[in-house]
Amino acid sequence: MTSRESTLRRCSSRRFLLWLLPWALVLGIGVYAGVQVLVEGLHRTNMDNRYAFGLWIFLDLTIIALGAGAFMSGVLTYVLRWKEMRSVIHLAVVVGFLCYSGAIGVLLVDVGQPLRAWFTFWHPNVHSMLAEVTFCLTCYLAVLLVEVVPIVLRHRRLRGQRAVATVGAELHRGMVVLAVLGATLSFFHQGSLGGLYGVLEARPFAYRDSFFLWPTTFFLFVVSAVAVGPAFLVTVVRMAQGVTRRRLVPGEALDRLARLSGTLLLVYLLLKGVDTLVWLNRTVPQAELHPAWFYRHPPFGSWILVAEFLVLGLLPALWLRHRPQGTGRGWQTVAAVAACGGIAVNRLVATLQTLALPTLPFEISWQYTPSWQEVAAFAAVVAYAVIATSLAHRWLPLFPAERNLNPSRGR
Amino acid sequence: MLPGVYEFSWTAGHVIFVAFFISAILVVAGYAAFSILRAHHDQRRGAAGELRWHETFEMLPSSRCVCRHELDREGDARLCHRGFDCEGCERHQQLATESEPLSAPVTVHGLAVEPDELYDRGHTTVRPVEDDLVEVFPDALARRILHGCRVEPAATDDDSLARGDAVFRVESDRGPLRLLTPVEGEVVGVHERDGLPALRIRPRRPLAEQTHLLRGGEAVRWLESELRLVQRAMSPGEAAPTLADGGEIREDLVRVTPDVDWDQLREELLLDV
Repeated sequence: MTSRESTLRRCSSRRFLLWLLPWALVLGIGVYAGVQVLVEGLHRTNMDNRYAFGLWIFLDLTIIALGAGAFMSGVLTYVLRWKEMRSVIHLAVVVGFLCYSGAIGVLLVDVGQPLRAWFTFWHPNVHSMLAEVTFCLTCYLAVLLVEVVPIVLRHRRLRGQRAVATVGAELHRGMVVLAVLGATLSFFHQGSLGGLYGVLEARPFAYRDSFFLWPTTFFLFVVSAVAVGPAFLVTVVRMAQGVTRRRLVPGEALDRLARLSGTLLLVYLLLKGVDTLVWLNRTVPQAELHPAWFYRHPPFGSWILVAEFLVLGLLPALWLRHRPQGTGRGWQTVAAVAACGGIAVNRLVATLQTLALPTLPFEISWQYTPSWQEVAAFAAVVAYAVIATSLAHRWLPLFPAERNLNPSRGR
Repeated sequence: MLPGVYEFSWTAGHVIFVAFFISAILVVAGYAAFSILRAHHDQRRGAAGELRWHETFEMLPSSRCVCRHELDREGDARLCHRGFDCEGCERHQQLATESEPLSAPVTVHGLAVEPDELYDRGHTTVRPVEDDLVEVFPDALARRILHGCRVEPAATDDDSLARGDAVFRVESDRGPLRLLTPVEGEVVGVHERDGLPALRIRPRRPLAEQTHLLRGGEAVRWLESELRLVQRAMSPGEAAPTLADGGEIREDLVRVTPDVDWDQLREELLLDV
């Protein structure tokens, strides 16, 4: 057997089940943890009145940002007509769907009473950014579902039914409509998630001045999501290529995505830098505080600024934008992972550091360590995504360019 | 955010918000409903096959989409973007000359190209049988690669065939494969030929106008290029085909070469990926 698989043959069922087994175990433990929290209450987690948002909200914000690759890819493929994107668009839609459905799955546990989840639609708080987030997320999940259906209908057995194949083809025909709608919805919910923190006047660490109608964090969250989405796609493709040991997407398509991500990350860092300078020199002094005070509460020290801006921000952005000649694509993957990590740190800072900092003179900063139930539910979302992507790769044309890159060969 | 909700007011912000979300929901629901209705309409007017063919064509690897006028060219050949619909193709009109007719059958590695037969790139053969009838059956290469598979007719008497409709269905490990009709028309009979099904069809247009079908010398060149693909598929690893200086392809080729991914090769040769 050659060291790299060169046909479309999938591995044996036995080997595939062995691959799925540990992920299914993780998923099972996570589901058990989630059920325990739902039955016994949120006191099973380490969230409390100080940490109303914990690991799960951090997870939600991060995977929603990473899943932005879906709407970005839709715009690049159907609106801007980048031909290279055809090789990743199916994956982008599936990954986006898994990210958003995973986020909503975790939210259903986080809210404590999921049977009352409909309250958020029927009795929304008209003053809350979260109401807008909920509406946008639900609509966007519906868009992603309609985008995923034609991919699922391309399964050979389903395509054998003429009516099914025709419905799939018709759903695919006008995708530009859904791409534009998806981009619009994503803009608002990504932004509102940022605006959620930026309006917290009582938390000067998170509070930001407004630009137009919204706090600057609204725009920063949008730009950061748009920037990191392509990098996350590059990461997922490289991982899939590593696991399957075959080329799935042309290198040129990944290079273009990486360059785009690098460019947008540089724009984001510039805007973030300006925003931080304004915060340091105007917003914080107006609250009669000193900026250094925010970074004196372990574990959140000034190292986190260096990590977010430099190690996981500027360096990977430059590498993605200007991959030096002669360097392998392995370093490009490292840079993509680091870029995703940078956005994750940004969401961590927004959620956990904001809540850790005391707001009253007699308060101290509190530590937060997620309980095993929270970690298990977090891991379950990752396992769910891996299992679903594995099934999709096995049975669906997740990578349209795979045939071109792996012509039929004997062994 | 909704009328009737506590603290909702008829201000610009709230009205825009409500209007936006109602519009978003209507667009998604409307798009899905419209697509299903259009699919139903496509089925009724017989356009479902053509729609599906264009979807399939987009998924074909580039090696399968080479223009018929560049089949001899190895690497960097011009690609067809019209689903092999040569009628109306400007380049085909510039390059098309009368394909040199065959005075006698030509054999390519044991596969015969007959003077009176026409060939579709999906490996179906069209043979005129009477004034207004043709016989359609899998060609010689298709018969070899489908050896051991169950091949069934996908149409019956009085069925109307449009572009993209299937005439034969093959069960494979990865799911059903379809051989598409080379001509549009009405099915007048189903019979067997050399152990595989064959159809008698009354074409809607004369064969002379079916410009997408290959004949004569062009059919020979096409078959040679298809055989090169099969040879590459049978070569191990990245090795180039070697020592191919003659011989005939066995009927049981599939059985004696189990290491070849015949499922993938069938999908690509029969243009049903």
